[in-house]
Amino acid sequence: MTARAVFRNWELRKYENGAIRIFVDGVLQNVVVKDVLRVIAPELGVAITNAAGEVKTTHQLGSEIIRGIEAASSSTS
Amino acid sequence: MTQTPTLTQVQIIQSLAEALSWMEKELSWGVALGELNHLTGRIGELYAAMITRGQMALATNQQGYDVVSAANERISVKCVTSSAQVNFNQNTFHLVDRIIVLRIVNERALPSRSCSIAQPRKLKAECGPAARKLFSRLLRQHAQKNHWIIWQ
Repeated sequence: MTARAVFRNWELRKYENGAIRIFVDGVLQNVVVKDVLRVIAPELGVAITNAAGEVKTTHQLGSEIIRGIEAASSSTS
Repeated sequence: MTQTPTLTQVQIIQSLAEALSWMEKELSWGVALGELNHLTGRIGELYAAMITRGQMALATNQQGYDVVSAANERISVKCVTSSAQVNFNQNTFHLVDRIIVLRIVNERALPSRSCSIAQPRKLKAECGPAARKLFSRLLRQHAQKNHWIIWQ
């Protein structure tokens, strides 16, 4: 695992191969990760589309959201 | 009496993700956004519950409001597509502490769609004088809290 962040009950984990997985209470969730990330993103001020107007990949979105959560938690602590 | 939540926050986010995905699929098949009222209404309620960390109203056809926020505000959620106007039932409007109006926009010219939040626009309410007064007060009180969701 290369990065992790917690949004409410959701734990986002990023692995070495770039894959993003979502856990709740340590249990892997059988969800479409990209769809969940798109719901969470606006809450963290993360844009869903890139400069070209295309929807970001799950890897890109996941990485930015994890960074966004870390930034939000460090600014409040 | 302690009432159990209808959906957990995890389930709310998951359900919202699936509802948005379902809507997107139907739109890609050529269905008009206006035909998906059953989905847009539910998306609005789930979205409001998520951003307020709240709960869906416990009663089926709960009078007046749709969501109860974490701060125990009773929220009436309206989710529109092309309409610039929302209607409230003045008989039950006194049960409402807060309103959230969401707008879902389908921008078909774009090859891909995304979801983001924009600033609220000026709203018009169609209701009697008493309810209009209440509506104005709610709008003023929650000017920073009313949301639009843009689905492009």
